[in-house]
Amino acid sequence: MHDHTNQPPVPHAAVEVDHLYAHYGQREVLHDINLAIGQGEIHVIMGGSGSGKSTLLRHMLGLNRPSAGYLKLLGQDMNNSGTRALQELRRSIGVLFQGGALLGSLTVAENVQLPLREHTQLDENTIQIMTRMKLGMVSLPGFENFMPAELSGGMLKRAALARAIIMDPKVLFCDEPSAGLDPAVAAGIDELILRLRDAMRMTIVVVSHDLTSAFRIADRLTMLDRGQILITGTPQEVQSCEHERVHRLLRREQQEDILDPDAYLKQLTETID
Amino acid sequence: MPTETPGIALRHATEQFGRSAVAGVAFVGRAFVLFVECGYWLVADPCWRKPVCRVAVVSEMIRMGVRAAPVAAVMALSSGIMLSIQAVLSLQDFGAQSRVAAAIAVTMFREFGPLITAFLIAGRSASAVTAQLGTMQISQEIDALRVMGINPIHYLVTPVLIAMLVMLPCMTILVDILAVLGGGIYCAFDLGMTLSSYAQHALAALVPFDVMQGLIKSIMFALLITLISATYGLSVQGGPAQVGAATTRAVVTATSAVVVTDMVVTFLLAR
Repeated sequence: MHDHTNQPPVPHAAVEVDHLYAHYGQREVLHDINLAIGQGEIHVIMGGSGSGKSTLLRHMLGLNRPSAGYLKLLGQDMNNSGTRALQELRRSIGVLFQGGALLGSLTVAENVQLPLREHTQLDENTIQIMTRMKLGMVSLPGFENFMPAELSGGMLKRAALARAIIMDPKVLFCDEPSAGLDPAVAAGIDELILRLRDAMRMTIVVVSHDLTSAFRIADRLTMLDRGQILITGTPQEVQSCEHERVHRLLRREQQEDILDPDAYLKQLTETID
Repeated sequence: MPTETPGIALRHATEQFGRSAVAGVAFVGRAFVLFVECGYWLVADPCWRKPVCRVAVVSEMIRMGVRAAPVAAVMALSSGIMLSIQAVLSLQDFGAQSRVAAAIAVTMFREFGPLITAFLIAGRSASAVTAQLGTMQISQEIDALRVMGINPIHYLVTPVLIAMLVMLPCMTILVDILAVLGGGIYCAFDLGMTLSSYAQHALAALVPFDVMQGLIKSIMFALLITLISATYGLSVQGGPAQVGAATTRAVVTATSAVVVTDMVVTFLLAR
């Protein structure tokens, strides 16, 4: 078991977060985050609503800038990279967004092909073959000409996953892959993530609040609470952790904090400002 | 307390004014940054990297130009007839009905043609652009483009800007011609003037600068409508309600900006 202060160095880390702080207005949402995700591992970042896990993911993707600290992706400093360097770096990653985020005006095939058409000079035949191959990998063959609006929630996530892996990324980020899906479909997505790691040997970072899914797929877990890391370790280490807040989160118990209306309103006003 | 009420009200009003002023300045700043970025993708980048997708440009041109043409035609003919009725009524007091064609042609080409077209495009396309970008923003499609290394301004906004810069002047010319034709139809009906005589009078009154003035205005309106609608669309945060609110604000702001710009440009060009 490792808490965030004494996490041992991970050799050849795909993602490194060092003393990261983030704020929305005056409100601190991430506090002194230190994290190293090794290459080839499935790392699940979990926590309750408002724990800061989605904010941490946005920082890892370079969509938000931290207030302090730095973040390295595949050895490259995200904070001090120019726009063009950041765009180049993003070609090495794939992202599965919570709602899929497929472009509604394009078909499934056009969505999956989009990164290839924008970043490569491949001929049309190769692009079509790669599209069919990736759609086959996510068990969605024959859906090339469907529009995203015609797909179910699970199919939408599979199609988005096909787009995320079309460039054979070194790191795949998944934001709540099982959210909004029934348990059987969610288990199918988990199986798919495990298969992808084995087949493509990629590093996979999953943000999730689904305990069942997290313990099913994780090599290592990081548990966030109120913007701070409670623990980072293997599933066994997390389950045997004695920390009271970790226990509460694992038992799905609500926090005992009573919401102070005045403090909440003040916080909300500061956020809006 | 009752004695504090006016003070508190004044404080709230001042705070509200301050917030609105800051938001206004921030909006202008964002629109300017968008303008510079679009300029870069439009002019500098194609020289050594990937040009804007032609298919997207053509698709936008069809959406905002070809599909709007029937409505534009109805508006133009109606405006021409309306203007003609007023011109006949005003000029007959001076016995100058023969000048109706000249009045309609010059007024439409200089002022009302660009203005009517801009209103139509602001109501139709600006709302569509804001709603599309706003919906993409809240469904994380814009974020998805960014993390795929695709610049959303290059991919989504620049094709709209090119299409708008081409189609708004084209639509303006169409509206000008149809409005003058509408005026001619009314004159033929009311004054017994033949269409060829009406056309001769209209062409004799028009100088190239009248047409240029209208085209300069329509290019400026195209720029304004695109930047305002895209800035509002890309600024949407929250849920579908915010998309609706942003769409309304985009149409109101774009329409107001068109009128004010028209006034300023007319003042500068008429001197």
